[in-house]
Amino acid sequence: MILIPIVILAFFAVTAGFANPTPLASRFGEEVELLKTYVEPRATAISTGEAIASGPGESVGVVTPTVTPSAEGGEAGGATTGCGFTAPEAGTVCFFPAVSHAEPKFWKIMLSLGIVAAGYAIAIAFCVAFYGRRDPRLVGLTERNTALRGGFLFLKNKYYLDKLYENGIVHAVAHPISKSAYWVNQHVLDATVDAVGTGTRATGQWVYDNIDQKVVDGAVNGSGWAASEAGHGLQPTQSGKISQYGALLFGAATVGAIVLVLVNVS
Amino acid sequence: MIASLLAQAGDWVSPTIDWHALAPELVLVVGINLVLLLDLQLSESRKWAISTITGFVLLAAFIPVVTLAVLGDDTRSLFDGRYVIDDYALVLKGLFLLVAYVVVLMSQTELEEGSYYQGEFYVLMLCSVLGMVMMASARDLVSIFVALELLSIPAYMMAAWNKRNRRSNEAGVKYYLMGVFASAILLYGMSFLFGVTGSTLLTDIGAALSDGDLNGLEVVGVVFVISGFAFKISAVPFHQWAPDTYEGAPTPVTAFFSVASKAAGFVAIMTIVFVAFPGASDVYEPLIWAMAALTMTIGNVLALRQTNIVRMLAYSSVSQGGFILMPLAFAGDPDVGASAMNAVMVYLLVYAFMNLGAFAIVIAVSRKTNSGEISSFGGLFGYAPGLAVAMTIFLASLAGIPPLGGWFAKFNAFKAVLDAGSTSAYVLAGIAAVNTVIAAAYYMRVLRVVWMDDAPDGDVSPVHPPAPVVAALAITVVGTLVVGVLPNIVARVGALDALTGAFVG
Amino acid sequence: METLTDQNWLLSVGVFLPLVGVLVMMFIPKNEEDTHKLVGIVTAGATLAIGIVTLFAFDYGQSEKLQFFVDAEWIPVINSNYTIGLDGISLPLYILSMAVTFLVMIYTWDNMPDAGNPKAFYMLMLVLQTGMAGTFVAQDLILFFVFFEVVLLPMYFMIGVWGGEQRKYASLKFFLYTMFGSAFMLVAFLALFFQTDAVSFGFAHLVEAGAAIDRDVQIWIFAGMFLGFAVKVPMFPFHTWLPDAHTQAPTQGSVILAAILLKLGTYGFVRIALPMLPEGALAWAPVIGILAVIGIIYGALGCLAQTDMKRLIAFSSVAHMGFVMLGISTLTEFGINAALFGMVAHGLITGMLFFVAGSVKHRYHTLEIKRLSGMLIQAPRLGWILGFAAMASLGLPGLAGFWGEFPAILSAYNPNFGLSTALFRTLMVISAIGTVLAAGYLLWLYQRTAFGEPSDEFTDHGGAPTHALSAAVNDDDHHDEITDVTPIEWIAWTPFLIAIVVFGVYPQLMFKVIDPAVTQLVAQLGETLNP
Repeated sequence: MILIPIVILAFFAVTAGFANPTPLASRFGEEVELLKTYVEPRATAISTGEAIASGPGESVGVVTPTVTPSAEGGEAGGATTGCGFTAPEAGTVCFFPAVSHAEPKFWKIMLSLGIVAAGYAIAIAFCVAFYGRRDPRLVGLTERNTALRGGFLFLKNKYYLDKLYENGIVHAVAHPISKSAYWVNQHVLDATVDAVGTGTRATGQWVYDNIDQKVVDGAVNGSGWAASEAGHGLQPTQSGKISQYGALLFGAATVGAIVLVLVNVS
Repeated sequence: MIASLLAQAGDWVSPTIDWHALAPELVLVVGINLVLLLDLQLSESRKWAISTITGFVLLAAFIPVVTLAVLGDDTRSLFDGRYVIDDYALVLKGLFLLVAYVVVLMSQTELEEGSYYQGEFYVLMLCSVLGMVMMASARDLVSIFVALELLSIPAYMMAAWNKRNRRSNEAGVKYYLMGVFASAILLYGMSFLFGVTGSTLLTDIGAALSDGDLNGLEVVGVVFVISGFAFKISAVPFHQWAPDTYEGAPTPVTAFFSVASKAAGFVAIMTIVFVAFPGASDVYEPLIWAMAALTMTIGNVLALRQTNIVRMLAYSSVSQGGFILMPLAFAGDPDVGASAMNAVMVYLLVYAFMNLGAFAIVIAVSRKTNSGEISSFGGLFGYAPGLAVAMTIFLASLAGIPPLGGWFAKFNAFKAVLDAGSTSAYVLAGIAAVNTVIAAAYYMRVLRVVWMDDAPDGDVSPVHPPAPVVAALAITVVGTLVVGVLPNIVARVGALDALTGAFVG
Repeated sequence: METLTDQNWLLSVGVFLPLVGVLVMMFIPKNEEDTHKLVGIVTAGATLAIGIVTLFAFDYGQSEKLQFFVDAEWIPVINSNYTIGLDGISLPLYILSMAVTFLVMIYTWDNMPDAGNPKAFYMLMLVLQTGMAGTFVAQDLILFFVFFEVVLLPMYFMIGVWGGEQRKYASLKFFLYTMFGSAFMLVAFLALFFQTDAVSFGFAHLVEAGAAIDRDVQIWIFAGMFLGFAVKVPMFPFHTWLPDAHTQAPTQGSVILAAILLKLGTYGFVRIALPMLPEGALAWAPVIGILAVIGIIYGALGCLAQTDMKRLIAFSSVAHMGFVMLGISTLTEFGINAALFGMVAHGLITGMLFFVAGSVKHRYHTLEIKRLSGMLIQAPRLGWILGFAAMASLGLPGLAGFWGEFPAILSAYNPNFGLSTALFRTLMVISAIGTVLAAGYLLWLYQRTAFGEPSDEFTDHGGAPTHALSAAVNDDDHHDEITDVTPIEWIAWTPFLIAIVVFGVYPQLMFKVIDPAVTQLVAQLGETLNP
């Protein structure tokens, strides 16, 4: 199953390689570098005069004119637009810092391809010897030779980088930090939130039970109760006894008269 | 001494009498005799006719009131201004006759079905009404006293009319005894006034007291006269007879007392206050202020705990009296006088409609339930929605909820008080505002039973109130609603110049 | 004040048309229940139609002026006239009252409360409608007072007869409390009348003359009005009638109470208390602001303590009306605009929540939050509507609630006429915390009722989608199934839902009506307060 992704990847690798054949550019023009023209940012030359007036809003104010180093050698002059490899015309500036590329040297290419070919050859020879002929010199080599076994293990464990990362960084540094962070999160931050929540709810309950129902509503119901009780309290004055009624009648008239005489007659 | 009296008698000439002006009283006098005579002639099975005739007598007496109102825009003053027919008097006469008519409608079946003497009852009622009609015109201490006794003495008997009922007898006796006490105080006060001012004519007394600097005797006279009438309007602390009497007396009689008698008492107080006591405002204003505040408050809180509907209405009527009295506490302020008088008149009129209506409902419902307990009204909305809605209208009106008549009455009372603008006015208005709420509590409690409870005995057969009671209900419902929606119809009654014109002129 | 009198019959007809329905129903026998419902709905529909005509006839270019103005003699002896008119401040509430009554009546077709008797129920609702609409158009204090009070009795009976277990207590409390407030309000009205030369009760005159009253006197008069309006709003600490009344009222009563009746109080502040007593308003504004913010926090705390869904929604009204009052207390155009928007938004949203609560009660026979759960499984549409309304209520941007709450808070940043900036900014911060609490209790409510598995108690009752549209649910039969939203409910609710979205997405629709009138109001205040 592992084959399918590898095939896909191989396909892309080969395609991508041929899509950007830099060594051929000098011969067939820069157009063959499809990827590069597609991906690489281009600088645009804009006249300093009109840049202020018509340039894209944000960049005009902060642009610092970049003078591109003039291209060296004839093979460099690829870009037809912008000023990646060309010196900007007089009176214009480039917006984008120039991108310079190493010059392709034929011997460097050949050298690298040679190394690759040698690598291929060694690998194929090894595989034929190891898997095909089961060469006794090779089979079990790493068991016999301590140095080679060390190299094998080193490679097998991917230079011990994972171990280093896991133990050195993840366990030693990241775990405690994350643990403590999570602890803070759960016990401080979240607990605060929860406490605010439960606290608010408890406050709500308390306010409702004690303030709203007892004090505020109590005052309302209490006033009704007071009025009603006042009526009850006054009930005994309505004794039905005519002597008391008469006494009150005469008494009230007399008291009223005395008070008003005192107030009005000085 | 005797010689001088004779000499005066020799000078006596018969005063010219304006027969038209006296026509309402004369119609009533003739009617009283007519009913009395007819009662002797009619057989027991035809006694029902008496109430109809009484109703016609009252309507007949209404005719001259109307003609006087239509014809005369000038005040008719008789007997040296001791008996005056002005707009004020005419409105009140009309009110008394209307109330009496509605009470007759309410009494008819009640008296027929109970073991009551009918003929005598209506005679006494007509006598009492005659006293009230006279009270509206009386402008002299003596004629006021005569009118008062004429309206009171038949009332004492009417209270005890259910003569086999112990409570009714008790009601009559209590009313009588307390009435006598009050009359004593009143007469005592009047004698002081006469002694100090040398006249029984209200305008003369008013002139004598007008300097505003009163001596002790004058103060005592003013206080005692007002106290005497305070009994009639059952103002606290002279109210205690009212609940006992109201509960014991036959229900139509209670309605009559709580509206007509009370109104007569207010008429007397108003007449005296505006005509005789303008100079004594320092004395009567605090007195009435305190009485109004006490009356509305104590009447209300006592009403809160009542379980009997008539007794509750009795206390309610006491507290309503406080509201009616309230504007008079500022009657001495020349700016307020007119609106105070207007407020009292409007209140009396509206109160007559709504209180009579409430009693009519009580009569209609208790015919079915045979109970006076508030709880007996349970389920009324279910089996008699019409009566329930009518009861709602009356009680909500008594509570002062727009757009029912009561709101305008209460509003006017508040308006008159606040017109005075003094601190004591605002305090009284505040007390009244709180009392409005307390009053609403017990009115609404009755409505709660009417609308929300089930019939206590489970009897939900419909009620068929007798036709006269229905007529009474119709009059009172329409009155309560119309006044509430279009208050302007009644708002003009009782302009002050009509009354004070009598002694200015 | 300049007024427009074109087509001024519209308002009188709109206000009193419901009473025609009442008259008709009076003569129909009680047992013809469907006829009563039909007459009621048709009357309310006709009233709403008049309202919509009004909506079209309204001149939006001059919404600061009183339109459809009528000034007829009513009680000349006390200088009170039948003066009615409509401007941008009252228009939204006036129309809202008509729409809500109509929709509530439709809802009632299937959801008559247990006590029965549609005749009385529909008649009371129509009377209520007259009172509400009248309050919003009255331009005379006495007329206003009469309409203001007219709503009391019908609501008393609605709660008392058709309400829940504690209905008697709740209805009496509602009645007496409101009565208490309005008694003092009447005293204040009269005092205002006499302080302005006792010439007229008309708003226009009082606005003109009221400003000249002494500051101390204004403060006292304002106190009386404050008592009357604050009880109605209700503001802390006069709110205790509200949870009882709302909880015990039938669904219809709760909806009308929340959507319209509470607004009578806030409307009174904006229409009467503020313009007529500018100095008094300025003196009272900090008090109102503080009480409003206490109400916001306090209402939210109260919500958190509730175990009953309906009572929780009721308490949330205390908080929401706190935002409205906060907006008013800043005396800024911005704040008053927000307050008026908030009134309508709260009416729609809380009305909707009460509808849902009513339907939950109808299906589950309980509103105890801890017994409900898994509504999204048993009645998914109902559950979603509850969620939608809850989101709108907590002030989610894009729904109507946001435009009432957020600008109100914002307006407190910069109160008008020299009110203490420090105080109001503190209030602003506290009220912002209130929105968090609002989200808390609403989401908590939603989580407990709608999420999770349906409780065992109700799972036997099915919830199969085939029954989702069976309309009639028999209340007496406790083995009925938990049905989803019925067609009648859809008809009654859809306008609410649409309005919540429309006003949420395009608030300008309402702001542009309100704003000119508010601008004029604040300019009037400015004439006195910024000499």
